[in-house]
Amino acid sequence: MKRFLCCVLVFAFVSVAPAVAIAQRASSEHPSAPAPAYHPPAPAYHPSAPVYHPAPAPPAGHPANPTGFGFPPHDVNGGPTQVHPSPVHAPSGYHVAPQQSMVRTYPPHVPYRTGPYRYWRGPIVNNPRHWGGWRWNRGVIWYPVPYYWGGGFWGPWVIGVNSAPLFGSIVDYNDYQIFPSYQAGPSSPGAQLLVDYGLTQTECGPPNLVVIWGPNNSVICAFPNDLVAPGNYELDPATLTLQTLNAPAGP
Amino acid sequence: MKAKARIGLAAGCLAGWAAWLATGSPASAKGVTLIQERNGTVKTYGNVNIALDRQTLTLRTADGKGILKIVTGACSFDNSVQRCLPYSVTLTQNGKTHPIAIDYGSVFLNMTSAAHHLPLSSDMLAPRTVLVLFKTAHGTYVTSKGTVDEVKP
Repeated sequence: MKRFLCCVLVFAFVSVAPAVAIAQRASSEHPSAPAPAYHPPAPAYHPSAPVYHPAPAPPAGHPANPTGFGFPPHDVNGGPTQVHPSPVHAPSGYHVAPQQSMVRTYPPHVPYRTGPYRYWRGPIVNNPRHWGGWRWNRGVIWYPVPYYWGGGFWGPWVIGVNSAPLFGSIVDYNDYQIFPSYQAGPSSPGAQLLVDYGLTQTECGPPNLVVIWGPNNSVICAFPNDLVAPGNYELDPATLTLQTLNAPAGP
Repeated sequence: MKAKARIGLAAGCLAGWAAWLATGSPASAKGVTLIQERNGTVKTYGNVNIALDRQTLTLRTADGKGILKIVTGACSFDNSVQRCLPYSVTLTQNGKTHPIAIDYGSVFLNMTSAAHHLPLSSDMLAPRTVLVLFKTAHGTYVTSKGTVDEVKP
């Protein structure tokens, strides 16, 4: 009822105000005319602002974002994973051997073209555990993946991001390439290989070491023992065996 | 007569529920996914469906609108826990598929019927459970853990 009366008052004021203005103008133009009656404006009515009650927060366990996963925009628009540059600085005229960015889904048989050598003709040094096939990996085929050093064989190390400490390197003076080496991570297939052969990893560089070439241009070095003599070896991930580079010298 | 019909219907429903509970309903086990941004903001997603198809892990939000596909490889075992390395992550939602650049990560799977320790950890991974951890190139950490709902060999 009060609101209705207020509206009526406002309407009345609006109706009267132009007439008052006209009357005032007329009085100024004709000073002799009598001053119009002045009606003070009705008090302005300001209805109170509506009270806002925010909706209660959703209960715990329900996703706050109703449209899927809420990744930040720069993650969504950033593009696919890139190969990070190696932190190893090669001297002038040399370059660090590149990582491979392609994924090979077939089992990597020997040779899989890693390191500076292409033809491995030497005898195989069998794994003392005689795994056979992929039994060392419970029958699951292991294959290298991009971006991780050695395809992930020596551990979950991504060069330039979270790689293990540099552990020496091998220099290919023919092609001016440097192959950095890193420590094999625990519980990695590489660690399993070292345990199987009784090898202890050491920094690459000094002579007379066991040099093992792994996937994706990776290399590690170890001290020789009774089973594995100094020299270059290629790893066969399928059987976890080592093959020497050169055939033994004839009689 | 109507009242009798209602009573009968209610009794039937109760009997049905009792039978369902007695037989052991399939576990509606789901996962929880956390996305932590560089600024520390953490978003939590419950009831995430987890499916494993060979070496591709698919996480689907409870509302079905967000699908995260994580392709892994270089899988090896540490005792009974399998560890794989993620190298490709894509997000599909709002009708679009976006590749997400990642720095590194690990995916741990325990597909046995017993709990086992995570590598170099006292923490245990429950049976048929997967733990996903990766960091994006832009500093976002994603963690997801839950029971695998679907497995395709």
